Amino acid sequence: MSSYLLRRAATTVPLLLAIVVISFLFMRMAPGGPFDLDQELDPVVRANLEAHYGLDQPLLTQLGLYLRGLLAGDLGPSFKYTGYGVREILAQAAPVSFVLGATALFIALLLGIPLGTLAALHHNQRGDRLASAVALVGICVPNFVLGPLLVLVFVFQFGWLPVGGWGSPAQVILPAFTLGAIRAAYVARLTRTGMLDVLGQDFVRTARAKGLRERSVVLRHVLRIGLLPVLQYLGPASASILVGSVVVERIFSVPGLGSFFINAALNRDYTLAMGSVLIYSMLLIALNLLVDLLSRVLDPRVKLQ
Amino acid sequence: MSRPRDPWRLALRRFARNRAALAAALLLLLVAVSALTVQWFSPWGVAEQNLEIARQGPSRAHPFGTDEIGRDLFTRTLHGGRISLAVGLVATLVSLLIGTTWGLIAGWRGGRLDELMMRLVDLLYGLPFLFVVVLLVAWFGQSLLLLFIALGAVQWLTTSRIVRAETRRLRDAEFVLAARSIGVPVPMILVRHLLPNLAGPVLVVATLTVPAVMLEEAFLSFLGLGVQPPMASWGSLAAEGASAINPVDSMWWLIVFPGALFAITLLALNFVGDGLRDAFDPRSSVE
Repeated sequence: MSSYLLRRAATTVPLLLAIVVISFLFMRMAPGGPFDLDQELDPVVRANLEAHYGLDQPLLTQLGLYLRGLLAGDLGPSFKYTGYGVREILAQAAPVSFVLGATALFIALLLGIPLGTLAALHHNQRGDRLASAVALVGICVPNFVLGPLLVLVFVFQFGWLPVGGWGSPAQVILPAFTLGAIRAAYVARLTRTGMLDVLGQDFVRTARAKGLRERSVVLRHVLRIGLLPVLQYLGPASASILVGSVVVERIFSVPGLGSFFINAALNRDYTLAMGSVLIYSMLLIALNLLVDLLSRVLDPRVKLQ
Repeated sequence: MSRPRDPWRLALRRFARNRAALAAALLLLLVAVSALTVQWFSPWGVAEQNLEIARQGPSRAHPFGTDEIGRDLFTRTLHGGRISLAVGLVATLVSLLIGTTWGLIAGWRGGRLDELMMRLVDLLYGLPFLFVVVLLVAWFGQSLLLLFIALGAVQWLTTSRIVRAETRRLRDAEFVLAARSIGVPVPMILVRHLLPNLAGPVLVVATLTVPAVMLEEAFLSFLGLGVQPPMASWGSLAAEGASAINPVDSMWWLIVFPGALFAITLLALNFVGDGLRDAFDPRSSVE
């Protein structure tokens, strides 16, 4: 187990390094810069600013300085939010995105698993067809369409929920549902196929034969193995939630990582954009590791490689 | 082509028997054709503004309504379909090109190189590549070509895995050995003998890639990073629609119609993909 963790860590480091180097090179090769404002800066001021941020150094020196900073946990200063470090900004935004993403994932599982289970238990009957159809529609409505529609209905038509912003639990519901709905549909599909695979197996017949009630056969024996595909999906699901949250945060004016990332990319706030990409990558890698470990816990037959 | 067990024919026949898939394919064709011919049957231009008819709901003259500055949404939505579908096709082709080449080389050469190339694919799988694309597009300008290539470059990983697995399987097949033994040069073997056999699985991956890249284009366009006005895609139309929603006077049709057409297209692609998968995977037809 510990050697497995070590090996995983050993592949993670070069990966993150690659991400940093690639985005760094993009940043320096891109035309324009953070100080290309509408109003031309005084050349002296500009030179001073560039010297202050180290932009006058040779490219490799800059990369080296940035990497050395990273090792010490320093993500550099933000170019646009003067006086703030990238780390401070991200530390403020990351929890917001985390709460949003975790709630979305929770909603996805909460809706998807029962829907998929129901479909599997009523295989090829009307309930199955209905559940599968709902799931299919859920997959095909992109979140940037679903979000505005939900606002239209639940905010402006019925006035049940606030339009956006962040801070109260009521403000989490709509963005989290928007983000979770597509994932719920996938979870439902995966649960259904996973359960159908397991329902036909010998140990299920044994469990029934020894007189267990259907309820405990399903809950204790089938779900545990049938949910493995769902678990495997949690990695990609988290990734797509991370990506999707960029859009959802914009629709609902949520001050999370996504909004900062997009603004940073557009304003050429190089350090902030790179810092966000780095955080996203680390989150994703950590989640994937977690998923692999969890599969092992649920099904001891799964081998960690 | 009268051989009874020609796999393409069998696949085609199986596909045609799948009613849902066939209907979906026809629907896709309809969307594509109307997107391409909209300038001939719509009385309105795609960028034609007319403030006198601005902010109108759906009517007989404007089935999808009109926007803030009086452009006909029906025309714009179909026009937007062009970009969305083109992105779907071109970016998918780019991804197939990269993925197939990568998988062919890794699978054919095997050994160390294979190990190295596929480890790289494993690693890249774990990365949020779309964020890098956002940086790329935001910093290098929003050219449509860049968009196509960048989106395709994000999506080649699955293709490469499948092509590699198939190549490894076929490398030792008798007909390949026969070709090698009579001295057919390797590039010729790859092109003439391996590629045709890879076409089925690759086609199936492609049907999954098309909706994925279309969604990614829409994602970027929604954020204002994709296609730029006056051009429109389903993503940018949805962005306009989303921003037009307000408590006083929502123009709901601006988000509903482009969104619905996009969703229907994705749904149809889904059915076609399922149909092709069933048609090319003989095991699934037994069930």
